[in-house]
Amino acid sequence: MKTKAKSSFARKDLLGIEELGRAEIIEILDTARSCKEVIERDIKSVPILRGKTVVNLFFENSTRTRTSFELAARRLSADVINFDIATSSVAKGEALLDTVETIQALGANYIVMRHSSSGAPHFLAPAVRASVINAGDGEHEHPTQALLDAFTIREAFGSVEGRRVAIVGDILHSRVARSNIFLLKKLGAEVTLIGPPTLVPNTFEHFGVRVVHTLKEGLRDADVIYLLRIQMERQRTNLFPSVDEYQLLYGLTSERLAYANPRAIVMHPGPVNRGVELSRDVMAMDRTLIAEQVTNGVAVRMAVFYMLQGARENA
Amino acid sequence: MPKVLISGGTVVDPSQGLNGKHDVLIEGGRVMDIQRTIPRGAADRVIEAEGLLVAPGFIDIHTHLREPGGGGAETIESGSAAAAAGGFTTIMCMPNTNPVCDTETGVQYVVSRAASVGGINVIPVACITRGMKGEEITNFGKLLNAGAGAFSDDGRPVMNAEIMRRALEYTRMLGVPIFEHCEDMNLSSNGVMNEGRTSIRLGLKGIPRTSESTMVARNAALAAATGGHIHICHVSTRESVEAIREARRNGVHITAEVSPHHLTMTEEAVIGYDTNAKMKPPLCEAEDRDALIAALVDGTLDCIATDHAPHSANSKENVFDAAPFGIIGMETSFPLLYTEFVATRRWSLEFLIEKMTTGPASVMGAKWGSLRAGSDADVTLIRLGEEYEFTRRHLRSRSVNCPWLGTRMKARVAATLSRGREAFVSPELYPDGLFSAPALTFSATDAGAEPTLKKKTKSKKKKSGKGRD
Repeated sequence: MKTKAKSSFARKDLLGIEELGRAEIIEILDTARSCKEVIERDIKSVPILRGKTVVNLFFENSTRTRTSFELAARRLSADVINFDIATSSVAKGEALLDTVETIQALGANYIVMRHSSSGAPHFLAPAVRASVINAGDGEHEHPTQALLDAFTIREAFGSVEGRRVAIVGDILHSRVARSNIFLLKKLGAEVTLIGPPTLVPNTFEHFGVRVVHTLKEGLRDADVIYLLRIQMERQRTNLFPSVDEYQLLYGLTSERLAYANPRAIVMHPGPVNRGVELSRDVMAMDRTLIAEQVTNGVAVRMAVFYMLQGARENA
Repeated sequence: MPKVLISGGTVVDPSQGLNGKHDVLIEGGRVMDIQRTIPRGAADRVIEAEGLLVAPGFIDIHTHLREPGGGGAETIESGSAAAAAGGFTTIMCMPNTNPVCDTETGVQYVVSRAASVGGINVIPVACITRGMKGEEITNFGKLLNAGAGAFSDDGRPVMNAEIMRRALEYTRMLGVPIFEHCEDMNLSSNGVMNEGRTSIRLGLKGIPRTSESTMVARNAALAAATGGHIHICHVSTRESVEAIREARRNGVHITAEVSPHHLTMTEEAVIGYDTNAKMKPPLCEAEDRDALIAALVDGTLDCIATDHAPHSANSKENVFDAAPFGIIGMETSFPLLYTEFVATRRWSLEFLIEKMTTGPASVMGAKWGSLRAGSDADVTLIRLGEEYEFTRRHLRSRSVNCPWLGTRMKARVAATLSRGREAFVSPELYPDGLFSAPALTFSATDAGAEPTLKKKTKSKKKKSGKGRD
């Protein structure tokens, strides 16, 4: 990995995609390409973050995301500490601020944070010296997920610009969807959201995306089909009547795949409800890139660590 | 009782259509006289009001004083002080304390505490239902006798329409309003801000606008059917305004209030997750704010009420969804609305004062908010036009959950008199106290000065002699 002479990236924190400029996003994605080269080598680590400490501060369980950040940090030779903190809803902010002192004392350089409250990293970031990386805040953003998704689309098609991306499922409650919408729009993709009005309200049209309610209409000519995990508990609040009906209307099968561009790729942030969001045969197809997304996640998170580090050292 | 003259100020009193230089003479807690000029010799003490606005004390029919049970955030004493600092002399406080105010004892407690802290006129609003549970109506008649001014389950709206029907039916006989916080709790569920593009952008749970408007329509229908008086608290959406307008047109006994924050802010204030932009009903869209302004102007909304809702700094210093709803508003109400609407020539000064005096008084069918001779000497003195930064030191509340700290304001409360007594004196505008030296200069040249001085020496009040020697 080589340090670029000129960087447009001068941020302490990565809180969301919404505040990033196109050039910053491109720079992260380009850097991630070099990072991917590193993890494809025999010796998969570089000493860039040697002596630095990364704290994974997870107020919500997520083994997958946490492991990805942990691996990314280790590939860069950082020390990693994992904090899993269960918290009552009342003491959310208090628990957060209390934890800050501990983390400051541990000399953390990075705080990777997941929290069930939207805006929690925005609340924390100004209070700490460490770089804060949002690993998912409530139903708001999950910026590294969107970056790894864009990285995956770039690998498949060369660029994001002009691609037709269909996102299917519970958009309303999805931080993955929000970060993806922001990022895809910034990079010039055409975005269509598909789902029932209870999960995909027309209000999303304010973000310059198309909202439709059927796969047939939404998948037409799609280059990317992005399926979101359906949360079974939404059924209890009457946002959809049953998993059966959801699967019937919005489950991706090989027949329905035919609505899309024949080269279309299929993505999912995981974990998949097998047979619900997508059928087993679609899951097994070469064009279904769920495993690639996981690999790319490590590369993109390495790039984020690296660039926030650069920004701090240049400061 | 010493006679006090408020001298040289510009009186704006919508209750008698006054707008111009007038002197006000006060004795025994009442306005004795109001004239273009009253000789200084007629008074024992003079309050110099040259260059100040002199208005009837403001009325806020919707506040939370948190006592009993929430003294960390506010008490009746600190809340009274906050009111006076905002120019208010009569306020009504909501019953969602701990315990809730649903008994005669509870009502008497508020009344006696307010009297003993000696600030302003505090009228408790008692619960509509016992324990605010929405199941059984309270002893409306007894509570009224104990000193309650109205009934409300503010914060926990009466979801059962049958209970609301009975409450309206019964209180019609007593001639008091039901103050209803209109919110369908099933619709608002665990929402934390207005549902719309901003909630979607921020990933925050939305409260749909129908949560308020459907309940306004329901309550209007129940008031129409029963003949009871429904007062709609803190109206926030254009659909609610429409429902109220329609009901008024049909002769329903319906009144309504609007808060300073709903008149001046929109949901965009939530961007950045500022917990001082979190309240119920939530801040809505610019079109709603404009509809509220228009409705206040055309009389669909009767008055301004702050919904002053103190919360401790700890509880507001939190992630957005965990922070409590509400902001304080009594200290900022007039300065803010003057700056936003009067200084910009959108409203007349009379109009703003009307909506903070005779407007709320008319909701209660009370004669408050007037400087007519014989009225209670509830008076507010205000410096207009001079810009300053509103900061924490202008607050008297125990809480600081105020979104306007750091805002440039163009009106500043100089002093507030409640029944003739000092309830608030601005340390900036009256650094030497309310009764300044010039009183001596003038009264000493007056023939009546000597006997007056003697009278004053007898008076217990230390301040009476101030500046005399």
